[in-house]
Amino acid sequence: MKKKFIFLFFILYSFSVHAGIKNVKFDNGLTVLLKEDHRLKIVSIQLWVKVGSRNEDTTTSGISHLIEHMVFKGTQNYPCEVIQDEVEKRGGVINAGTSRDFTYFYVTLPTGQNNLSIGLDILFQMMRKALFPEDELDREKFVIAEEINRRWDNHQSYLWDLFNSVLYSCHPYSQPVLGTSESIRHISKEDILNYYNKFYVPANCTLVVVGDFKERDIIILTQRIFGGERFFQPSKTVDETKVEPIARKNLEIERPVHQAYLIFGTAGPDAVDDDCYSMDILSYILGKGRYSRLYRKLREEKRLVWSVDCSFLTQKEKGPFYISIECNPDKIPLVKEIIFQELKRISNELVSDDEIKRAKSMFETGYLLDVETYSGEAFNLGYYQTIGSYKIALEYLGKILKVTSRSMQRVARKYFNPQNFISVMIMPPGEK
Amino acid sequence: MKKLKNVTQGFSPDMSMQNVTQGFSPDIKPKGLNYSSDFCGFSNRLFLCIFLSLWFFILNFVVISPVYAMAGSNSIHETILNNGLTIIYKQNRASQMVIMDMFIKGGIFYEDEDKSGITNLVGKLLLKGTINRSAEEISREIEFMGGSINTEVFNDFAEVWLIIPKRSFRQGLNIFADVLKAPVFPQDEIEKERKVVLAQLKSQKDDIFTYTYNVFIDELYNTFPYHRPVLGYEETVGVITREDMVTYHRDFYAPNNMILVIMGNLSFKEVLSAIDEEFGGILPVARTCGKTQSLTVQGETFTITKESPFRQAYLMLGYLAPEVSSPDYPSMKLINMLLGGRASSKIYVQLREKMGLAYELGSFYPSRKYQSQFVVYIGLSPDNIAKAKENIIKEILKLSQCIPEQDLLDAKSSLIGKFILDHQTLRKQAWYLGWFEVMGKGWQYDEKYPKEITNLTPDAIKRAISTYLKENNWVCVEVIPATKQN
Repeated sequence: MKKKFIFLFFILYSFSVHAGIKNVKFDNGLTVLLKEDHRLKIVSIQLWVKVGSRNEDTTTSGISHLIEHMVFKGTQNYPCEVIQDEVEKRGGVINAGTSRDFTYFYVTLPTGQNNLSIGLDILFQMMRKALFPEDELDREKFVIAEEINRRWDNHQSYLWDLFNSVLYSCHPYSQPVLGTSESIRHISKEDILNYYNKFYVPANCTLVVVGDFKERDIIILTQRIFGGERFFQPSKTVDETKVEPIARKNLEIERPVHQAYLIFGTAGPDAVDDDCYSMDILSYILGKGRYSRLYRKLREEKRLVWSVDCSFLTQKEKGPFYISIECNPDKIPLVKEIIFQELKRISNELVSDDEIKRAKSMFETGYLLDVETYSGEAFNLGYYQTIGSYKIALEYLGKILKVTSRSMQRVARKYFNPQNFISVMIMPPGEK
Repeated sequence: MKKLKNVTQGFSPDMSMQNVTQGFSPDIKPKGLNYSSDFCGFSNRLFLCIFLSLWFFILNFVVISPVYAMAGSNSIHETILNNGLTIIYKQNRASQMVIMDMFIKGGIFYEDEDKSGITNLVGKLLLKGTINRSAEEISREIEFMGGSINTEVFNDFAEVWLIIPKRSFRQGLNIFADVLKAPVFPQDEIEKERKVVLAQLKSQKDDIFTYTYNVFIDELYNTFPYHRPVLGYEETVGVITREDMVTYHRDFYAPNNMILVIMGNLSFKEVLSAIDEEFGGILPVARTCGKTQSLTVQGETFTITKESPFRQAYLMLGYLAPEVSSPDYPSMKLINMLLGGRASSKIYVQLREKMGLAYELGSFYPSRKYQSQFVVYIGLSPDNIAKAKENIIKEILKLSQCIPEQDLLDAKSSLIGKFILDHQTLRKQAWYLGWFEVMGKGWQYDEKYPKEITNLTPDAIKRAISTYLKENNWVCVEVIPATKQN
């Protein structure tokens, strides 16, 4: 019997192992990434789909996110009210998220009888067997309308959407992931089925499992549950527009807020570009932590802002490098001037070894804490597999540690052109 | 490397992310009773002189053993230094990091009304200079080691924690002890932080959940200390002096008022010796009975409508609930799970899944040392407020009449499972031990809690519902967009 199994699986999948991660490729195109870890009696199962708002146009804006909601509304084997209950009554959690480059679904469960197969089966049903009942669709559109209102009420979220709409003006990244009330209202069940059948196919998905399990069990279960699906070639992205640098632009909007919120940034490298590593360290030197340059200068020395942060977001296409600020509206001109000075300084002068050491140490700690949980580790693998390759995740820290002052200067000069920076701001009425 | 910024929160918002201190705890105190706290402060100068004289005698003539009491359970060690500092240590061989987490008894509850916000301000100032280091030196040293230090404030305690790579444990502990023992509260730094807190108070008004919750606790607790927001008020934060802060630090940051939890891959001997070097020489402070507070009495149903600049409306409906030491505490945790603490709970399913009224809704029962609260929250269209309120109350009533056995079993599994999942990180493991200790349950409750949940009976749940979730005994706050007012 054992020999039979081995023979069976040699036909149906192939695998490779890289840095302790087993990468299994099934013949229907499904990729499975596995990492056994028995420290805790927990298993994290995540299903990543290469679809997000970058696959949408203005008429379908928000459809990826709507589908993420709707697959919880009933599948062939699990009625709506059962899906979450099946996981929660086993002491687990189930949820999902949608972004520009991906949609992902996760189940985290304590190890236990049948928990693994139930978790995998639920995710499979959501991926291939969702029913999209009309009455549930109508109801869920109201729920999403409330989610859009909630995002509008949150000033940081509102500002973030505004920033992206300007930065990526003609690219699908400019559209809000939630869509608009208008676009959501007009999406039909037919639109949903077309989109779902196009993108929710095994060859467009990655299953990631990290935690307390046996690899062999997962492979057998995956074959049993997902193996009946045929290979479909996933559709090409609807829009292959490249992100282009845009001319410097400022946008100021009055809202009923009590202080000014500012995001200031530009487009950086994409996920497979090695410039990402220098960009990360640059963001730490400029604005991560209390000893970063902008924190010390803007908050501690000049006392111009209440908070300052700097980040670089790695994504499939050019990711945003941005600085976010909270301050009194009248301080904005001086704040911008100092930020420009610091961007110029970091482009012109080599960063000291001490500052690089600090940034790398902080990054390393942050990375280790990010992957401290099984779900964190699974997220890291799934994220990079979906926008490039899971190997990026495994090599990330090593490449960060190789960043030098010269590579940072080259990258700063390449991306920190003041003409390519945009700023968006919301401020109290009458402060413009 | 940053990955999560533009991910929507998914099918359901993360209920654990609300900015209300959650956690676990119970207690049963009939309304209207007075009680005394277990915290201290100085009673009078005479007592202090006698106490300190005795202490110096001990320091001078007794060879100090760092250990007064020690207990071991599942490789957890508890030690109390001679000066009263409680140390809880657990070895974690898998981790490359070390967490040091100091819990300081007190928190919002012990603030004077006219000094509301002082706990938060003192916490911020700890990192702004000590007798040995400037603010910049503290940040520089910590960040060069790859560490992260933070201070937080809760209703019943304050917390200072440092997470650092294991290789820098000793140096990290030295800085950690320095900020706790020897802050200097520079006047210019006080003014700087005061401005930041005043700005935060303004920005809180820009967040609908915080805005609604602050109105809600003010109405629910009336004059009871928990009615105060964590950051205080503009008028109190504006007048807290350096002297107030020095006095607060002296009274609360005393070794016999603190609990230190350390976790990492180190030997207990090494940890204990280092802690003794850093903290062993601090003097304890004398304890008094603390102050007495009256609990508020509920019994009325009322609704407040606030104008707001938001597009959504927000509803919070809540009841006074048992404190952490109550035997009803685990029952109330399970009731929360049954009603609104998870995606398959009664209120969530009815209002979100069946009626489609909202994206964000749920309930919480935060653990409090004294009188707690059970709150249902929902962000929704203003037109749906009446319908939502009616159905929330209906679901609570239904649960009081009938609790299907299977529902109870599922809720127990869910609650225990979430508790286990919440223990995955080093920081959370340390936090739970210290948190149970500071709340008076003892760190051992980290193991007992799941067992207590397992043993809950339907009768215990029914009794708790009838005691705390009485009809016409709630407070409701509705925040409605200004444009919908008329």
